[in-house]
Amino acid sequence: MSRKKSISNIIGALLFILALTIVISITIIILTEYSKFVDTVRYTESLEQERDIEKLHLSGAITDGTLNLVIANIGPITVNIIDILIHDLENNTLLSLSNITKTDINKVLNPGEEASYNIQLNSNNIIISNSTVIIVVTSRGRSFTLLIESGEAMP
Amino acid sequence: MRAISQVFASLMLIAITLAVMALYVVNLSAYAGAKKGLIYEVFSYRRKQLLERLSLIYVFTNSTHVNLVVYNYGDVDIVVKTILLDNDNIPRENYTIINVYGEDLGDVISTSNRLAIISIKTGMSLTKGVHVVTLITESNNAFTFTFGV
Repeated sequence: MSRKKSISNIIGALLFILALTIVISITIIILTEYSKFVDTVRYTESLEQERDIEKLHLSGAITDGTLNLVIANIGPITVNIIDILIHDLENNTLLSLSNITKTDINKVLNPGEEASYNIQLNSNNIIISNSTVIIVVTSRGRSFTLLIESGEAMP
Repeated sequence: MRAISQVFASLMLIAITLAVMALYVVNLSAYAGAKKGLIYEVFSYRRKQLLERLSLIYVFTNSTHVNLVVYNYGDVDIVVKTILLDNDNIPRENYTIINVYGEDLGDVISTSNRLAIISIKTGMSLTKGVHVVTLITESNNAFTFTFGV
């Protein structure tokens, strides 16, 4: 009788410890994953906030087939320029400046800084008209455009 | 006899508990390491959805195509599953996704090829006005953009 009692005690204690271990470990996993999820939410919120305050001012012209472009960072945060696209309005074609120049045009602009580009457009069998839209793409997925008509930037 | 059975019971209890816990810990670490299972899937799926970020950079059209320049500014690759233009499903053969060098990207706008051009064959010019394009990803995120023609 006493042997049976001690065995049932063993089983009871074993089940209790097992249940406790399962509950604790599942709680740890849920808390860890939830913490990673909260970190991701914070990260994406901060990314969107930074995107909203990115601000660039573009000015420039196309003279004798050369694009003179000045990009000024007039926002409060550092901006990373990934690429500059040119939409030729006469031929309705879109070209990447990094593709035309075969160089990396990536630039990091701190607040208040400017970057100047003097790029020969009409080379390597590529002819770009004087009516274009210049599109500057940043690493946060923002784009800033400048309309150039007959070589002159439009306000 | 009674004292011996209690000692024996305690030892058995400790031995069995340690064995079961060791087994459980091994399985638990395998579970956490494999990053599989219901709990992990629920959170990681939602995390992936949050990390998918796509922006519309520019749109230009011609008489037969709408070209959307998009940029993946998230931390994960984006797999485009479905494209809707003005709520009409665009068949897969009617759109291509290329990079700015003209290389075909298939369905993936990856983090190593963030800038992509989605060229949608419409067969005719879009009517003047505002249009809506929706990109649905493999993670069931829907990115909706409006643009004017």
